[in-house]
Amino acid sequence: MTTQTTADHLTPAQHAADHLTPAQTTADHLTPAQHGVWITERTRPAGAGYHLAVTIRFAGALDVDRLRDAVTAVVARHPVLGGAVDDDLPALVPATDPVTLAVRPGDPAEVAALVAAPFDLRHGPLARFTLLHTGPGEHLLCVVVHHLVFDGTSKQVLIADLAAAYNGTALSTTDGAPAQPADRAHRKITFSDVLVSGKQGGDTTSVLFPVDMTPVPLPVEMPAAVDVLAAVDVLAAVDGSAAVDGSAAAVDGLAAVVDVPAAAAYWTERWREPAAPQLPGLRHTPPGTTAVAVPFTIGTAALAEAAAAVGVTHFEFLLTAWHALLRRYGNDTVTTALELSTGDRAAPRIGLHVNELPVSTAPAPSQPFAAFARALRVQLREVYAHRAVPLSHAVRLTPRASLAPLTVSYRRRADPPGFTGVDSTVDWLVFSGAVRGTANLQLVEGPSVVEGSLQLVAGSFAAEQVCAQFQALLAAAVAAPDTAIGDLVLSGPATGAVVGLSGPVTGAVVGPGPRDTVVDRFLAQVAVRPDAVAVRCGEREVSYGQLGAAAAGLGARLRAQGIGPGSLVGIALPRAAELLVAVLGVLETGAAYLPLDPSYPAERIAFIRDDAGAALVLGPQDVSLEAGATWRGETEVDGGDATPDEAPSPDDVAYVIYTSGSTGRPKGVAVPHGALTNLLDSMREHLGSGAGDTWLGLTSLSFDISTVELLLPLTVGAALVLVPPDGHRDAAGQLRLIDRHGVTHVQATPSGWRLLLEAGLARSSLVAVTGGEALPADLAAALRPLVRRLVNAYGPTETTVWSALADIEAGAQVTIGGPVANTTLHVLDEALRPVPDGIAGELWIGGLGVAHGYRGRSGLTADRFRPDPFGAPGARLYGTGDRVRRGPDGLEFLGRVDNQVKLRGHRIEPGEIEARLTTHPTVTQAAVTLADPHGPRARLVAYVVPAGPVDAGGLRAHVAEVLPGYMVPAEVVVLERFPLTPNGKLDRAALPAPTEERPADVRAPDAGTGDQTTDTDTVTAIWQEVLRIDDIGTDEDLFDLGGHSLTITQIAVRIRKRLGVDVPLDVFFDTPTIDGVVAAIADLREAR
Amino acid sequence: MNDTYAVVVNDEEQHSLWNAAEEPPAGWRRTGFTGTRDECVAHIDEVWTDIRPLSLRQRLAAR
Repeated sequence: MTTQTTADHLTPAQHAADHLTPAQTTADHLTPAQHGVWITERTRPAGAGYHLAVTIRFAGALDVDRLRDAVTAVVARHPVLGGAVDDDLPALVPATDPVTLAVRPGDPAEVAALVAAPFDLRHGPLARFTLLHTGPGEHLLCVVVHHLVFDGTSKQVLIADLAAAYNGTALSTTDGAPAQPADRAHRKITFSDVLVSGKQGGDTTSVLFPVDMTPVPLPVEMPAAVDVLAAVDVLAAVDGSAAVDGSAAAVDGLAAVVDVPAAAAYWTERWREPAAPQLPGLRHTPPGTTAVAVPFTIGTAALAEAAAAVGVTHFEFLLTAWHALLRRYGNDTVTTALELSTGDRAAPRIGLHVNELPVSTAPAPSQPFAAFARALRVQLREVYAHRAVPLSHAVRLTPRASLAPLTVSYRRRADPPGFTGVDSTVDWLVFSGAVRGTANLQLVEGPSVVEGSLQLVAGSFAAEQVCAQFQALLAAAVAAPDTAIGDLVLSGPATGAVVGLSGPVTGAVVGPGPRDTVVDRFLAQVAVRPDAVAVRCGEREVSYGQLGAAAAGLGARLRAQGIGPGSLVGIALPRAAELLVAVLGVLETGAAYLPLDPSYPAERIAFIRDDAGAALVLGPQDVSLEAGATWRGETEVDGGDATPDEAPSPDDVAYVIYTSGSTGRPKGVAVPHGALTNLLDSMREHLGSGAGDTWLGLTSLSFDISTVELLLPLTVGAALVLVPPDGHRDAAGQLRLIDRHGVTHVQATPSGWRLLLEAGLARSSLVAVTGGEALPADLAAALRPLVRRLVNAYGPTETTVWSALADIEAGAQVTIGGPVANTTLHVLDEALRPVPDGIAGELWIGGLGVAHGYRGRSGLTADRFRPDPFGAPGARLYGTGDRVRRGPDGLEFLGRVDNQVKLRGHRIEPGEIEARLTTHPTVTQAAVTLADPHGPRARLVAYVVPAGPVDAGGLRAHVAEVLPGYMVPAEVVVLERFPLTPNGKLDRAALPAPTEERPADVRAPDAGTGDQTTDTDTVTAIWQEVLRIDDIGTDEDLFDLGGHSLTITQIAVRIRKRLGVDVPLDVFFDTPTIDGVVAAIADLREAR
Repeated sequence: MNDTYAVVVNDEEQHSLWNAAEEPPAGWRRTGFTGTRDECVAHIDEVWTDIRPLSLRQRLAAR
């Protein structure tokens, strides 16, 4: 059937009605599009997300009575405005009360409330007209219409007809004026006459949706190809771009065709559930947070020129820019849902004449913008060909307020008509105050500008930045359309090269780096304050002089053994003053030390010792505080000709510390003196630490953060109070030490700080340094008021202890702040390109802190330490494997790249869920993992260390309050204590596997009562009738059987009529089997 | 993951990997070896035997 013959078939009235939806031309049942909106309102209420509003500001002598009559005339002309929805069918029926113009004094600020006020869909009407008398000679007309009977084009029709009626000229279309709405008692039949007059008989589609509802039609039973549009310019209808396209010839063959099998074939191939989008500054917001709209404008002239040059429409150019921006935000695949017009452009009518369909792109960053635009144009035209078929009829879809988290609408508008004798200003983009997905980009192109509005839940992402970058990217693309997507500048000149709000994230450059070492610094303190206390250890007090002499003595003995620059000496000593003698003695020779903490597992110690190949290992018997103690080295070393006065240089290795990766064997990081001194200088500066301070020595030498606790005090002349060897978990003992010795500085992991809090840490003047693992917000909040300063430190061993520091203030967000001195932080994507601010990327670190690499592991070193494209020639960057993003308060740590899991297409950061779990009063610690990641029961498992009786349901609800459903753990496992690595960090690999039990609510099929058997028979019969399939198993999936939202409504109605149970529509989506529905019926009966 | 990398080296004889399709940053030159990431890592394990910077190795050797 060709387009033309179909058009000939239709009466003008039919033509004027919804071309897409034969249903509404024959009866008053909801069209598929309306049904989609209605079922969403029923199952997943969208708030005011479906409220469309337009306002007119009047200045001058408005004739209110005339306007009232005009409203009446418009509603008479477009009776759907006076409709309501009868749940039983569901169908559009006349509202209980007519649409009237409410007139009252008021303020423009009331518009938001007028728009947000709920509609009573059952009683109607679906439109509200309110005229606010806002001041002398000033009025504001606010029209709010439910999306069920309204769309963007409808706004234009409504305003035009309202003006025409007011001015006394002809309304938009000319078919017969309808009668008054019929008697509500007979509404089902009569209202359809009202709705579309004179269209009975001769209609080829009248077999569909008969009033008695039997049999129920399925869309697949529609004529295979009903051309519903005449040879109109489809693209123009979609985006009003006829002028750009030049002629209707450009769109031959693109008329909307209700061809469900073709659409199903097209979409089955392409539709993938969109992942949650990456946007700058993305945050989860609690439900109920208000939505906001960020307005912006785009000049039309330059856009028109560039679009014509590229060979695409304005809309295609704009959409390309939006997709390109989203690609730049790290979305490998960008899916947006487009509101496509299905109405008749030649005879526009008020109603819901749009169909939301997705378009997905995955451009390479190297693709030129123009080429991407042309490819997108081709894809759009493929989609337009299927625009008559709702996606839910082509593929399985759960009910949702928007197809995809990101939606886009675009419309061209003419200048609004005037109202005789009064000045009028129309606001087309009145925001409903609700957003259906993550973000809706609304574009309305006027004669000189495109008015844009980005709508989102307030605070859910950095919308101002996104709008600014959209405009910047558009401007760049307009100026040079052949630029690669990845090279289009997003803002000022700095952004292309380095990430950052204000350029690179570089620490203060304090020159070429210190030339002296910790040895020089320590010896200087020995000279200045030989009698001052250097180390307190139990009841012993060791002065700087004593420590210096002992270290010098050990150094001399080591040199005699041939130890010097380039050597590696193991230190297997417990935490006591002798440990410092060993560290300083080894460093004085120019050798590097290798921690072999005897409290660590013997196996690990043995591995490290063998792997590192230390020249010798110092044990307790080898080191003494007595300067002249006997050397009893366990290893004989040849030579012994080391120059006694040779001091280490900045390039010499200071220590080799082994770290565990998430995979593979531990590896020894070789850190040079220059890096260590730079870090200690930076910490001293940041903390303002000096000779008057007292530090707590808490951390094992095997954990590199110990260098700060041990060597910072000894190089600034401060005192060091050592926690006993077995005391690192004895928080009460630590508190006593802090109290007794007036400790001023304590550095500990968050776990360590939690222990101190639990042990009763009181308000103090402590400077608290925390690091080694992410600082949970609740711990920061609890700790901050008790200490003078709370410094969150971040850094991998490979860039020397700490690379970033943040002072955490009360109530402020926890970040890792900015870099230490002579350090550069880069947030990069997989191709090592800087990502825009607010977007997650991997943190790469450059500068003086970068270690030599992994001792004896050159391939691994080369892989993790890469050429620094931003730094000095030949410099290297270390890839941390940590995900961060740049926020307004500094870098935010998001988690390990490795830990990030993917569940049903959603990228999930377990740390986010863990952070939420620990805010629950019954949880002290939480860890979340993905169980059975590639199996059928892939699910999130939460491990918690409880502070009280844990209620799994309550915990899940607590998470669901702020995080999306896919981030709510399916299981909760309670552990008394988390498995820890030797460094005191959570050992994820050692978490026990979750139980494999199935949920206990599986119902045995034969456990049913007689009622249930009857129910099963009845429900099966209903499914057979509705689906027109004779043989249906009770465990077969409704959607596999061809069911969809319309089918579900029919089934629900029949169940209500025959079994007297109102099954919520969600049930059909959650448990889409006969068994599932029967079980729900049983539950509902029980609940009564 | 299946991208081709080039093995690159700087004046300190520190080795690393760089996208073979792109010019390495200033101060780095290709050694001529290209391959997958794993192949490059294995190659570097063979040819780069001491991860310490060249200047440090030379200074220590001169002692």
